[in-house]
Amino acid sequence: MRQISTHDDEPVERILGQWEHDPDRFSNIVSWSQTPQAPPQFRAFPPWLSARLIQSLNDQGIRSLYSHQAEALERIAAGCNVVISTGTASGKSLCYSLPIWNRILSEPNSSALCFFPTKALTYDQFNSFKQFEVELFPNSTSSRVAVYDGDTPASQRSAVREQARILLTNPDMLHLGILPHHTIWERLLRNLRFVVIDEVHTYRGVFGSHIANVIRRLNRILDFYGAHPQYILTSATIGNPKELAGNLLEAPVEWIHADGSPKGVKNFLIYNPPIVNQELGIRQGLLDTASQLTGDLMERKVQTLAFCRTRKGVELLLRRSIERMPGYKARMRAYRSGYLKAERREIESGLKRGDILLAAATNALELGIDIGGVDAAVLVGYPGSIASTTQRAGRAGRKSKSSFAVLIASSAPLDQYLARHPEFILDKSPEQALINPDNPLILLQHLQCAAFELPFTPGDSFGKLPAATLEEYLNYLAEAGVLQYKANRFYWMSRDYPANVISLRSSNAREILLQIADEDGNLTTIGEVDYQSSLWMTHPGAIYLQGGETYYVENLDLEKNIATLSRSMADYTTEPISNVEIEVLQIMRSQELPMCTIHYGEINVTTQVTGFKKIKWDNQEILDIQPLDMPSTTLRTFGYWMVLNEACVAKMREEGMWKSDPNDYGPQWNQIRSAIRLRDGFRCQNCGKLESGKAFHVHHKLPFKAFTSAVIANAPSNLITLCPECHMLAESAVRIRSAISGVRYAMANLAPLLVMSDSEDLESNADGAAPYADNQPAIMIFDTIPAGIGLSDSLYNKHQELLEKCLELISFCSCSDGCPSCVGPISQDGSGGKMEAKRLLELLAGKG
Amino acid sequence: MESLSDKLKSLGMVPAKKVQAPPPRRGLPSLESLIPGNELSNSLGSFYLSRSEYPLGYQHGIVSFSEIISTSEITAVTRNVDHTNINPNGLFFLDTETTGLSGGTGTLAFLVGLGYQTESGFRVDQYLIRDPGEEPSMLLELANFTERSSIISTFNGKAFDIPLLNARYTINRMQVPFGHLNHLDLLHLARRIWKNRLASRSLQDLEREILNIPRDENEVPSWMIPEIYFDYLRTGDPTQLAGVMVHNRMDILSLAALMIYIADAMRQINLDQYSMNLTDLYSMGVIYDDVGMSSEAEKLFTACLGDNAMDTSFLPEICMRLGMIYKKREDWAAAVEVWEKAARFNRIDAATELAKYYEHHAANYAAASRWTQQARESVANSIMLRYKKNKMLKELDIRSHRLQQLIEKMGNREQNE
Repeated sequence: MRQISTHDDEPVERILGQWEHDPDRFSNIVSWSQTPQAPPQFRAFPPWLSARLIQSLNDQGIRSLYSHQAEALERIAAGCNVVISTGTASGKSLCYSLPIWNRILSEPNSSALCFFPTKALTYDQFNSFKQFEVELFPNSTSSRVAVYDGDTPASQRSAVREQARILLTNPDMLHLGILPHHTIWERLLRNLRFVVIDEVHTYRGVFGSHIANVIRRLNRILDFYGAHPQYILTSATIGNPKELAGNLLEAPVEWIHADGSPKGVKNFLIYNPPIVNQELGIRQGLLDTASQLTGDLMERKVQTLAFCRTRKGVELLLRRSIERMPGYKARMRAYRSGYLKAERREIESGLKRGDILLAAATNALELGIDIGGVDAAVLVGYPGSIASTTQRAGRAGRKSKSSFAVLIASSAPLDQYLARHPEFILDKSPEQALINPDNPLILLQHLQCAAFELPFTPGDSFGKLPAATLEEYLNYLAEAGVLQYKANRFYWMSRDYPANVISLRSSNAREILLQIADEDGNLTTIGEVDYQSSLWMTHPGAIYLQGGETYYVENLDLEKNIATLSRSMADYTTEPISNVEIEVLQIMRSQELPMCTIHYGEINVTTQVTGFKKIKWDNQEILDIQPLDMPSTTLRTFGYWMVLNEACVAKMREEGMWKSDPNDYGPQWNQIRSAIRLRDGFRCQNCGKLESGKAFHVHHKLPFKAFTSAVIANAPSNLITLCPECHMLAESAVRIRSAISGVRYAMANLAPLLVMSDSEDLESNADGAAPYADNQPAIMIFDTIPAGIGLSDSLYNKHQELLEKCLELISFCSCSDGCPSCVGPISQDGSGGKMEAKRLLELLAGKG
Repeated sequence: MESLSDKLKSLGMVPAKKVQAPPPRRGLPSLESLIPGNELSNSLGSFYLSRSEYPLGYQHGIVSFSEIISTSEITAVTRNVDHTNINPNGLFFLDTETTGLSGGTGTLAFLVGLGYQTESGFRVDQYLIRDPGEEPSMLLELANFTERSSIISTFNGKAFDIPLLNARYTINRMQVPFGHLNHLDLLHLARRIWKNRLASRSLQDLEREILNIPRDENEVPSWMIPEIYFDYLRTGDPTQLAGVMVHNRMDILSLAALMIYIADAMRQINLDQYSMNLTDLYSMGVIYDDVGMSSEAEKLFTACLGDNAMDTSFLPEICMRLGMIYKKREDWAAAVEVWEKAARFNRIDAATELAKYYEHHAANYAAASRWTQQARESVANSIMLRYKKNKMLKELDIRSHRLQQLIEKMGNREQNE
C-alpha cells in the first residue's frame, strides 16, 4: 500500500513498518496517503545578481537557485509585487533577501522594511540577514540590519533609525511606533525599495482587515516621501494567496507557487482513536492516544514534534509522555509562549542538534522558526484550519529524506469529517483567507491614525476607498471634533494619540477584567473577556474555567467593567440560556432553489441572556435553572440564511420527520391543565409565585414531542405548574432537537472550514418559525464581527458545497442517533435527531 | 439614506461626545483687541506676531534683567557644546505651546515664544498661528530668526520642543533650522543643582521656590492649553487665548531669569540679593568639580565651608572634594586640614588619604599607622557589603603591617646609631 523510500533503514520507515503490522495501531489508521519523492528543480543565478552576492551564497553552500526562487527573482527584477506560496522549508526567505541585498550593493542607501508576525520569527530572520551582512561587508562597523520592536532598548533606537538599511519589525510596531513618528524615519522611508510581509496568511479576518489599513497608511506616508517600493509577500498554502495579497495591497500581485525544492516521500496519516462507547459516540482520549504514538516514536528514535491546540494540552502531553517513558525524560520538552526566550532558543538548538527527541508545542513553533526539520509531526487534534495542518505537517521532512505526519482526530465534527476526507488536507486547499478593510469600525480607527500622521486634503485617497466615502468619514470625524477643517485640510486637533487606543487584534475595545480576591481582599486580575462574551461567560453565578482552575462568578459590574470571581470546587458547569432575535435589515442577494430560498444580507441580532442551567459534570444532569436579568446586546452584521419552503416541509412531514409543528396536546388538555394547577395549589412549582389573574402554564417535564401517545405524555406525573417566566426557561432547556437544529449544528461546525475562519468569527441560529422569514423554518449563519468581514457572503456562494459536506458528515458518522461529531450530543430526553437532519439535508442538497 | 453616524452607532460604537457647538456670539472680540500685535507676512503666508518689551533693569522675581546674560558658566559645564559658536549676543530662549503632550506627527506647535536681549532690554516675540494653514509662514520666520543666533536655551527642549518642531519642518517639506545651534537645556542643569533640596524641579516649581515669582492670575494652567486652542479654532473667540499668551511669556521670562540666576551663582555674584541657599552653591561646586574646573569649584566649596549656615551633612563631602583638589595641586597643608575635618565624621577615605600622606610624603610612620588604625575601625563599624568590607580590611591590614615593619626598622636604625 505504500511506496517505500530507497532508504528503508531510516527510522521513519521502520516505525511505519511497525505500525503497518500492528493491528492495534493499523486498524485506527483511517487514511494513509503519500506524496512521492520529488527531485529539486535547479536554475542558475540570474545574470544581474551581484558577483559578491553569488560568492556569499557559494560560501554558504548555495550553488544554484530552486526554480521558484529564480522565478520570484525574475518577477521582482521586472518590478512586480509578488506573493510566494511554496511549501514549508522551500527557501522562501531567499526570494526577498537576495533582491534586497542586491539593491543595497548597487545603491548603498536603499532600504527595506520587513514584517514578521511573531518576535521569534523576526529574530530568526535577523540572524540570516546578519550572516549575509558579515559576508558582504566584512570590515564594516555600522549595522545595516536591525530589529525594531518592543524589546529594542530605548538607547539603541536612534542608532537603528540612523543606520539601518534593512529594518525587521512587526505590524503592531509600524502602527504604534513608526507611522505616528514617521518624520524621524524619513531617511529609511525616503529610500524604501522593498516591503516584505512574511507569513501573510496570518493576516486574515479582523487582524487582516487592520493590517490592510496599516498598509494604506504606510503607502500614504511613502507617497509623501516620494517612495514607491515593491512588495514581496510570502504565504503558507491557502486557497487564495493571490487574492489575499491583492486585497491587502490593493495593487496587482504576481503569484509564485510552483515549488522547485526537493521533497522526500511524505506520509500523511489520519489516526482516529477507537470508539469506546458506541451509543454516545465516545472515543479514546486524545492525549492518551497521542502519548501512545509518541512513545512508539521515541523507542524508534524518531525525532518528533507534537502539536497541541492549547498550552495546557502541551503540558499534559509532556507529563503523560514522561509517565509512559521515564527513561527518555531528558530528551522531551514542551515549547509554547510563556516560556523565556533563552529557554526557547535552547530547545530550538536542541532540536537542530537532535538532542531533543520529542517537543510538544503549540502554534508557537508553527510559523517558520528554523529548527532544521524533524522526522515526524504528530498533530493532536485538528488545528482548526487546513493551512495550519499543512504547515505543521510540513515541519516534518528534511530535504529528500522520508517523513511523516499523523493527525489524531478528536471527536469534534470537523475532526471526524476530515478523518474521512484526507483529500481536504492533501489536495488543493479550499480555504479562503478573507478580509474587509472597509469594515466601518476598523476603517474609522485607522482614518484617525492616518489623519494624525498627515492631514487629509479633500480629494486625497486612502487605498481603494471611494473618495466620497472617505470624505463622509472625514466629515464625521470633524463633527466629532477630533478633526478641524481649516485652510483646505483636515487637521488632527485633539490631544489624543489615536494609535495608542487601537488594538490591531480586535474591532472593539471594551474589555471586562476578571478579578479574584484573596483573604485580605486584595484583587488580582487573572484575565479579561470582551464585553459581549462577558454577558454569557461571566454572568453572576456562572462557572468559569481558566488554566485548569474552576472559578465561581460572584458579580459582574458592567459599569466598572469588572467581574469578581472566587475559586470554586463546584461539581457542575453552567450553560447560558439566551433569547436571540434576528431582524433582516436588507437583503442583498437571493436565490430560489427547489426546497428552499437562500439569502445574503444585512441583519441585526439582538441577544439577551435570560437565564442559565447548572449541569452536573459527570452525568450532564441539569441540576437547576435560574433566571438572569442581563442587558441585551445588538450586533449589526451580515448573514447568510436559508428558508425552507412549503414543499420541503410537506415532504418532511409526509415522511414523519418533522417535529417543528406546534403541539396538539389532545382534546382533554383544558381539563387536565386545570386539574394540575389545582393539584399544585396554583403556585409555580419552580419559583413559588402564586397565580393572580392569568392562568399559569402546565409544562411537560419530558417534552410532548418525545412521546408517541398524548395519553402517556399527559400523565400527571409528567406535568407541572409553572409561571410563564419559569416555563420559558424550562422549555428552552429541554427543547427537542428537530431536524433543523441538527442541520444547523453540522453547518455551524463545517462552515469555518470552508471560509477559513476561527470558529468564533461565525455564529448560527435555527428557528422552526423564524420571524425574519415570515415564520417559515430557517437556518442562519452570520459574521460575529460588527459589520462583518465577508464570511457570510462567501458562505452564500458555497451553499451547495456546505450542504453536501454536512450530509457526508452525518451519513458517515458511526453513532446511532446523534453524537457530538455530527448533529450534536443526544439530549437528556433521548432524542438525537440524526435521521431527521440527514433526511432534510438530502432534500435540500437535491440528493433524494 | 442612513447617515454614517447612525450606522456606526448601530454597529455598537459608543458615539463620540459631540463637540458642543458654541452658541454663535455676536460681536466677538478681535484678536488685536485682546492680544496686542500685528500680522506678519512672508513668502509662505502670514501669521500673528505679538511683541513685548522689558526695559533694562526689569525685575522678574528676585532677578533683574540688566546686563548681557552670561552664558560662559553654563556652556563650560554643558556637554556637546561647540565652543567656536557661543557668542552670547546670539542667545535666545524658546518655549512652545502645543496641541498635545504625547508628541508624534499629529501634534502641532501653535505658539512659539522667543526671548532675547536687545540694546534697550529684553524682548519676547510670540508667533501665533491663527489656523494650522499659517504654520509654514511661522516656521519660515522662525528659521530666519535662528539663522542669526548661536545659542538656544529651553526647559526640556531637547526632549520635547525641538524634536516636535523638527517634525513640523519635515512635514511642511522645509529644512530643519536648528543644526548649528548650541542647545542649553536648563532642565538637566536644574535637576543637578536642586536634586538635594527640591522634590520637584519643574519650571513652575523653580519659579516659586527659587525665583520667588507668584504666577499671574490671568495665566491659564498648562493642561487647559490644547483645549483652549481647539475652541479658538472652532469659534474664533480669542478671549481664552490671551491667558495662553501670558503663560508662554511667563515661561520665557522665567527661563531667562533662571539662566541669569544660575550664571550669577556660579560666579558668586548677587548672592545676597538671591539670599542664596548654600546647598545649591555646593551642588554647583560639584558640577564644576565633575568637569574638572577645580579653581571654580574650590571657590564655591570654600564659600560653603566658611559659612556656619551650611548644612553639616554635606561637610564631609565638601572636605573630601576640596582635599582632592589640594592634593592634585600638592598643597599638602591645606589638604591635611580638610581631610582631618572629614575624618572627624568617620570618613574612611579621609583617614586613608591621611595615612597615605603621612607614609609617602611626611614619612611619619607613627601618624600613618594611627590613621590606618582609625580607618580600620571605621571600616569595621560601617555598614557595607561583607565582601567589600573584607577586601578593605585586608588592604588596611597590609598597609598596617608594612608600617609596623617600617617603624621597627626606624627604631632599629635609631638604636644602631
